[in-house]
Amino acid sequence: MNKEELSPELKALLDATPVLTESDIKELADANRALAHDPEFIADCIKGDFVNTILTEMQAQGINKNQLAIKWGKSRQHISQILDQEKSKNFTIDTIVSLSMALGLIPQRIELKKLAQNAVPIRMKHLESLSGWDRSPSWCAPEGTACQCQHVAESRGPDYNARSPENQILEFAA
Amino acid sequence: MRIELLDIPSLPDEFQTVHTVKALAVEGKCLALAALLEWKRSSFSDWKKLMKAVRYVGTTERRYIAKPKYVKKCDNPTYGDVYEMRANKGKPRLFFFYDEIDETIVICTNAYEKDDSRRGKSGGQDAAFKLCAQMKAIYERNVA
Repeated sequence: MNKEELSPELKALLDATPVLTESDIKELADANRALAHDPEFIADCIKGDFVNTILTEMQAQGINKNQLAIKWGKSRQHISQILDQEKSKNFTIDTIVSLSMALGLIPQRIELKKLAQNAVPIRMKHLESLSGWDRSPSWCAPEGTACQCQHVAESRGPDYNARSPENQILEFAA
Repeated sequence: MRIELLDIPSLPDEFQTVHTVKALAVEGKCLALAALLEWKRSSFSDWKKLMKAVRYVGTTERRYIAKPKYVKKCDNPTYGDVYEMRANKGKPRLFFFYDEIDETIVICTNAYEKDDSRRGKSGGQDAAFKLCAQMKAIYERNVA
């Protein structure tokens, strides 16, 4: 490829962009490292993960905020407050559990990891069956450890999802 | 032409459990990293909001990417599968695509700062998506 293949817009942008120096890279690296140790940032991310799980589940079940409000026994406004991360208050573990259960999910545990390792804050499973388990990998356990999500289940053999939930759980326990 | 994939400097591993987030450099210039640095210096809170989107993309499987507040897929079919990460209620936008061969990589290409004016909003965003699509094509031609 030669430079003539670049569009004029891209050429102009590249010309106007400075080459990053070592100190620029270090500045960005320091800021990124600091994020992983910023409690406010991590808390927002974990809240975001929870909200995203709820939104995904609502989409999967085809229910809207009004219907969820009825199931949960709360007002639609209360649900909106929780699902709008910018407006949401710091919701409690009680809220996480009761809202999850209204959708047929149950939080399993809060896991704490050493700072340098992968953070897997909360995992959930379906109350009725694991066969429909299909969560974002952000909820999964680190590689090589037990995990109750679909893509790990797939790696356990084609018949895995055909087993009864009890047998699936037993396999995790084993 | 020199095409490189750069790491986002010291982006924590826990932000990249599903996809490794990279930045595309063309001829030694990296639009995405330059923009991240600029936002980090000029509007730190917006930069942090954008980094939440970066973390979201890095920790979420492509098929689950459906969070309008953090990520938007380009709705213009002529540009193909290109996306933007959004600082929720902030101005920064970082454009990216998924490597179709190595599905564990997300590649950031260019950036855009949302203009509050009506005209700037739509025109600038579309131009940025177009640029992202162009850079994706350059990358794919060079990788192939």
